[in-house]
Amino acid sequence: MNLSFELYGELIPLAGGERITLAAETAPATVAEALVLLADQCPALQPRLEQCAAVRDTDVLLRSDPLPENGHLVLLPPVAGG
Amino acid sequence: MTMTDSSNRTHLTEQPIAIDALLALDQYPECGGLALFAGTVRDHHQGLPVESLRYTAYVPLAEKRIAEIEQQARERFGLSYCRVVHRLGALRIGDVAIVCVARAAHRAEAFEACRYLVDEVKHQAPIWKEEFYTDGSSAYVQGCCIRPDTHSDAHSDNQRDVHPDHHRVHHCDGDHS
Repeated sequence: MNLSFELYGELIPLAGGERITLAAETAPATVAEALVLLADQCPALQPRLEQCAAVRDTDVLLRSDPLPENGHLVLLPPVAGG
Repeated sequence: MTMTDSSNRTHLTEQPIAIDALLALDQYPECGGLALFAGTVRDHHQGLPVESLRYTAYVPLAEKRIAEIEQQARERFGLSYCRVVHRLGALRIGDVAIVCVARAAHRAEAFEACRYLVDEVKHQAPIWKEEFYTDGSSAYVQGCCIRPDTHSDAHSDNQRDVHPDHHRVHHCDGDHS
């Protein structure tokens, strides 16, 4: 299964791009499992993932939620508008 | 990815914010109080000289959350009208970054609502501020975690942003006021 992660804010310079894709031999069951694979693929992101919201479209997911069927997650680091 | 079709936006803009158009002065004759907050780009942050800023956003969720915050403010403070607009893109010192307008029958509700609007947008809307300093360096300003199930919230009661209207609890590490 192909996973894709859309990145924002400080995640972009850490990862070196706005999107990361990776192939998983076994489909992760949950958001948390997908993020473990992401941390393995991109260790620079690992320290930041704990504070990131994982989003599907405009739905903020729990770590225990099932991974979206399309394997796509938007990752939002702490926000600082205004 | 940050910039989507601007025709769908009502709360985010890459253009200078036209404040007069947000006041709705020709409507709401029942209102005797209008509070306006405009956040501007300052030339320093935590002792560092700032030359410019760049705001980015995850537009779909930022639009949704700002609309929700406006609705919460209308209900909580009995407002006839409120609007929030936030700038995106490159801003210079003195540029207006956010405008909040609250109109109510009396001034007290309008003042309180205006503070509520800007505070909630800062804490909930997925918008990021990248500061560019005069020495050529840059950094993202640390802000508020919007993850709903973060463990750190359970251990940082003194830093919680608890609001009775919200199921979400947000944890702010940095000062981005």
